[in-house]
Amino acid sequence: MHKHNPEELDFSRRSFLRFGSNAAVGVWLSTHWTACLTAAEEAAADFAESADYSFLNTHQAASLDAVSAQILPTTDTPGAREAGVVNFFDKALNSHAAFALEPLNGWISALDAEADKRQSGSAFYQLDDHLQKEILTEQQDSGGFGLMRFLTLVGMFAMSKYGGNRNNIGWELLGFDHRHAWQPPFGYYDAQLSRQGDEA
Amino acid sequence: MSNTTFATRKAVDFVIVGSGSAGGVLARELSQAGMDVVVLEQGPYLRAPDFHHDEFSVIFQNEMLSGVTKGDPQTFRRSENEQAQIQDQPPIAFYARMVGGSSAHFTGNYWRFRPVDFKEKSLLGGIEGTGFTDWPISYDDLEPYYTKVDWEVGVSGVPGPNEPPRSKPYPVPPLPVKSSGVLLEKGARKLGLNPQPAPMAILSQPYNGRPGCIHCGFCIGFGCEVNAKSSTLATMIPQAEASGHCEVRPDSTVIRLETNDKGLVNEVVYRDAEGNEQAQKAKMVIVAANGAETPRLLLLSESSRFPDGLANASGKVGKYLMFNGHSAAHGVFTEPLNEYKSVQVTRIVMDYYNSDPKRGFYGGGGIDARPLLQSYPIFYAMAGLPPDAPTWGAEYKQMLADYYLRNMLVTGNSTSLPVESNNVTLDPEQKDQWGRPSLRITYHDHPDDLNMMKFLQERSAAILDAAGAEKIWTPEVVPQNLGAHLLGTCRMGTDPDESVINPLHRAHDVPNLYICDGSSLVTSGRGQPTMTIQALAFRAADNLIKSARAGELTTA
Repeated sequence: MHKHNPEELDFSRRSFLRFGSNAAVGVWLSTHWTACLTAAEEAAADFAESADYSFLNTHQAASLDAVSAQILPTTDTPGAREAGVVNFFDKALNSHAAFALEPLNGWISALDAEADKRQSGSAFYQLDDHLQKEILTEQQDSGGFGLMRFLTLVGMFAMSKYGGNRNNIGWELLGFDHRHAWQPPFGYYDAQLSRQGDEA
Repeated sequence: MSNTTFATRKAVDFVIVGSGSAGGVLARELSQAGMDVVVLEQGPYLRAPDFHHDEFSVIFQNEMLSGVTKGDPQTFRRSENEQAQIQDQPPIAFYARMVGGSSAHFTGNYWRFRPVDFKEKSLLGGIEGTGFTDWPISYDDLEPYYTKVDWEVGVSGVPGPNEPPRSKPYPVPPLPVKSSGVLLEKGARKLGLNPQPAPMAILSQPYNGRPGCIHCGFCIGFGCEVNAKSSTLATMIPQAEASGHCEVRPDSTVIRLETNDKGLVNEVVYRDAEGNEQAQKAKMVIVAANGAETPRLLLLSESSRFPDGLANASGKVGKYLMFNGHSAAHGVFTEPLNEYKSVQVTRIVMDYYNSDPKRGFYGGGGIDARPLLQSYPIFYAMAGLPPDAPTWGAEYKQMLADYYLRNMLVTGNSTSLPVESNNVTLDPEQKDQWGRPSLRITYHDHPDDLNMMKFLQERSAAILDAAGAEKIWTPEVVPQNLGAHLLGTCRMGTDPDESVINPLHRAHDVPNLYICDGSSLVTSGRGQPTMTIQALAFRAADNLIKSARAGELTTA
């Protein structure tokens, strides 16, 4: 297990704070890449479809599941849940994205407090879809949401060796076909041009 | 590792600081001419089999920039009156730290400068508040070396309607056109413009012992897995090592250049992979560390004899930093383009190259079609949708699925004026892991540069419209806070009070110190500087070899 030195952790938190309020472009995780590769190897080794998480507790897992499934819901196509995004969180928050654990825990507590106001005694993940959406809409400009969204997208669209994007579900959603090599034509318009060329 | 090794206590002919676009060329040329060369490179020595398609690691964890997050923070401010702040990810001086430097992760746009670029001040007049000036050399001086880059490094292309004179054709034909190139061409022609195939430093077919591109699509920001990208890692460096006269030392961060009592540089002090201090003796030194790290190293090498930094009697070291202007217009078409496949750029439009007084501001540039990082899934999901799109939920997810393959980006690439207050200095407080003052960058695009970016963005949107895009949007042009083109900070000139190096790249103040990289540029060109950086490197090497053979070089 890679250990972050305190300076790196500090730096990561600064990154989070800086980008947390600006969820638009580039929430750049700032752990260095060897940590990332180590994590990837661990994730690959641990990869399992089981719902038993090695790091997250039940409450964290249920909360991250609920929010990520709101960000990329299951519709007529698979979403974050089917892609195993919580499995990604389970690996990431224990390694390359460890800096995000505390901010996310704090943010989940805030979501739970909002949930309790609306439905006494309930955690966010226990609310119905409508109430979850209501709270997240209020939260969508917050740093916690920005961080959560970024990590959800990584879990959905990064290589499956990181623990998410199970069976390349995220890539299939986009239509991104990962191959080692391609040959022309690459898309509709160059194919059309080459057909015209052939006919002429 | 290199088979040839040199003892640190024995003075080699040249130490070259940096193995990127310029350093790689110089290493190859000088070592093939029989001179002993040690190349010190701060990053690791990775090779094609080390590269992969892992977007999260490369783009979001800065794998190719290794080091920025390992204790070398940079600071940034908009003006010299401000306190600079640490620039978080990505770093403002955005360059790859590895053997091959940024040529290993670049896109490979290899536009030549044109004759006008070298004498624009004479043609247009000066621009108040800037250091806008002519080059001391002309296009004709550089043309043989542009051709050398085409043939020695490997550039794919075919001469287009808007090209400077060339003495030889391209060695290999252009890469196959992508849908974005077809659409750019269609839109541009409708507007009466003259699109042409893009010159790219990526092989379209086997050449010089390397294979042609396999169109994997992981190009910008990534290392090439088959060596089709003409980085110095794939081209110049192995040839230099094969000469038997070149040792490349990776993981070696130069911290200081030492001078002797004659004012000649004679030793290059660096930290090795273990962090231990080492010193390589040298007869001559070439600094090719890029337009940010080169001035930083010179400023760090101050001494009682050179109190303002080495080679800085003019006070111009670090000044006139230029990033080039960049803008983008987004479009969505009816059918899939699949921009995630193949190289970034296949067609360009050069009709706005010249500055036109009718526009009301100085500037020129080129337009091309390329997806940038939006070809990659995570980045697209983060930032690829139009600003009015939702950022989460079922509709957001549906839009990702609907738009990803049909997305197209048209970018503007343009001039930056040399402004003295845009610069690289040493941060007075922030330090790196070795205790060196951090790189501090002060930058605010000149108003003319911002106007040129807006102009090209409008023209780009017009091209998308003419090509039939069903939806178009243009992010607001704002002052830049990231530079992958690091230019102008040790400019070339004949006047030692106004420039750092002479037209042969020798430092005015230190007769055995040479500087050759993006920092040498006097003006920025139109947005694609690497071809010119390498032509300058071939020219500098040629002159060094001639002078060496004539016994005219000053050595420590």
